[in-house]
Amino acid sequence: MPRTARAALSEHLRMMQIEASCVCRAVWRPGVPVQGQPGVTWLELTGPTGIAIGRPARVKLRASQLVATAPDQSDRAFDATVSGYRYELDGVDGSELIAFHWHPAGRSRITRPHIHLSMVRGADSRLLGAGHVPSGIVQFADVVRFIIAELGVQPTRADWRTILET
Amino acid sequence: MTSPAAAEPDVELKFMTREELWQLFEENARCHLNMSAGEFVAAWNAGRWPDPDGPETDSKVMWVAQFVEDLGLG
Repeated sequence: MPRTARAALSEHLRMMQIEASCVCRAVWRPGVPVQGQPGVTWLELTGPTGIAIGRPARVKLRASQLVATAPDQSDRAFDATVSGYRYELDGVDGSELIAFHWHPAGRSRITRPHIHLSMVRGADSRLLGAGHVPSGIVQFADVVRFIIAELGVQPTRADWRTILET
Repeated sequence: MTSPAAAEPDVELKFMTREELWQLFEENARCHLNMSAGEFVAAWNAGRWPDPDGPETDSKVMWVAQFVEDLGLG
């Protein structure tokens, strides 16, 4: 068990990196501590244009997380838990496909986890495309699994199932 | 049996500097909204996107907005 907040964050980052490695070689990086939220750190996976996923590229992925570190129940170790995220998938042309959001604080009136089904914008956009479809908390591993299992992207490591199940 | 994750190396916990974060903010604002980070901050503070996660705005505004809302840039 991590004995410090820094060790807990490092271990979380290591796990995120392993999960990302199932579909790409992008690197998760910690930004700076989040303002007004002690113990919360912002992490980002990719550069601004998103990481091209698949060969040939099928989608582009952008991902960021808010990660909170705090003492666990034993008070002798630290846990790192995701307290917010933005996981966004675009087409290779940059058009939005789907976005998994959880931004508990800020200007948006929607503070619970939700999904934007951007790809259905069009005739039914008022119904779904522009709305916030409620979801539970989506793990990054779930998004990676979605990319492989549902979007048909070839995984970049053979043990991806084991990785994403742990 | 050892899990695949257990065999993976530790990662270096290297935080971004404030300057690197601003550079990332700048790149994101230009890439997604064709404006500078400074222009985004000005527009954000002026209330250009009163409902940034709403039907009139695509998710890229919310993506860029995290640099202001979460990271306190601007």
